[in-house]
Amino acid sequence: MKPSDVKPLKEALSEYYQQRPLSSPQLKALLELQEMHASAQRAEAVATAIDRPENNRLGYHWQSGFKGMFFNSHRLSVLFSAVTAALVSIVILTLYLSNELTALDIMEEIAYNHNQNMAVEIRSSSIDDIDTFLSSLSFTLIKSNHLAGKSLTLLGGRYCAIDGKLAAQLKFEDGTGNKTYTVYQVARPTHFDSIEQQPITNYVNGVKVILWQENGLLLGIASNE
Amino acid sequence: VPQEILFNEKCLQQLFHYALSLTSNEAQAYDLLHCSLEKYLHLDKSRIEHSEPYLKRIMRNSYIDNQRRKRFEEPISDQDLEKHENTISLIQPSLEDLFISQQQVSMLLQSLNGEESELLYLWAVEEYTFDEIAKMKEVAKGTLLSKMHRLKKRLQAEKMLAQTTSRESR
Repeated sequence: MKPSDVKPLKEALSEYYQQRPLSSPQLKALLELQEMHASAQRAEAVATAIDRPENNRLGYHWQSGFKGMFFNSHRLSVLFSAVTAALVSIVILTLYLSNELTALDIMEEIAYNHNQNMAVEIRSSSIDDIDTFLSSLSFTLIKSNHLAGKSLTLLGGRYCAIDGKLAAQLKFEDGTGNKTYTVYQVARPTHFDSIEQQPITNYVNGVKVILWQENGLLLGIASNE
Repeated sequence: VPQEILFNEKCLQQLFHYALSLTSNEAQAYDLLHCSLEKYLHLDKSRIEHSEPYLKRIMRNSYIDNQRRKRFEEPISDQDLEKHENTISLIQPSLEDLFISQQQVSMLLQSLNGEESELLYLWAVEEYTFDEIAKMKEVAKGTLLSKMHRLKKRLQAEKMLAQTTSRESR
């Protein structure tokens, strides 16, 4: 060992580690991992807040209004019945219209998420692996029958938010590898019960979005057309 | 409240070096850090006071799980330990006196087991004292010093380390 070549062990060890930093892509991936997790937590927090009864304005007004009318006047029973019938009609109509609007809103959310082109959090061609990784989801990811006929290759998945709920975004590519599809799975909102099982198609900001229900989940697929 | 970025770039670099001290392999160190960070992010962090030491512990435990424990922690016999405990003042590992060629550091680290490499990293890079390391690892200081003493002797026997003549007699 030449005298000029040697240095104190402590200094040599410190230099050794300093010469081996994380690469930029590695650093970026680790920072993104934290950002994605924080984003998923935020989506979950929003979903929890929406699910709270005090935030359900329709339910609150309906219950309190009904209770007040019932206990305040027996003499207006006929009028009460008429008003109740009218209210029920309005509620049914509102729910029907809101379903239509919500489906469109969700399709817009899906188109927006698709256009964001966010990187997947887990790269895998196995739906089971992705399901294991996305452990915060309240449901199990499914292999959709609607996609069975398409020759799509699964690339990976990540968390996203649909209708204020924690959802999964799965990224696929076609056989040529030139076209990317994003598929969304979220627990079906209760007000979607009355919607047909058949897929609904719409074009939003140049994105073709198809929405359907399957195995208790709301699913959507988006692609650039 | 959703958490934001817990570990910034500087912290991640330091954690990577710690992982490197365990694995002695950059690719494995990155995998270890990535997997451990994922585990940490999914934990309930309301009871975790200090995130960085906690993540280090996850990394260490994960690494040990993937290795044979007996290879990672070389056992010290009771007799050996007692002998060293009685003469701690004589065997204080004077690592400060040791010299090495920069080119040999990589070879040196490859020759160490995970625990030895981790101890050297904590001492040299993070600049912990042996008292602090012993508390951190929840081991008796005598045990730690015995291990370091034995490590020093082995490396000197393998002619990887040189020691200044003037201090050798101290």
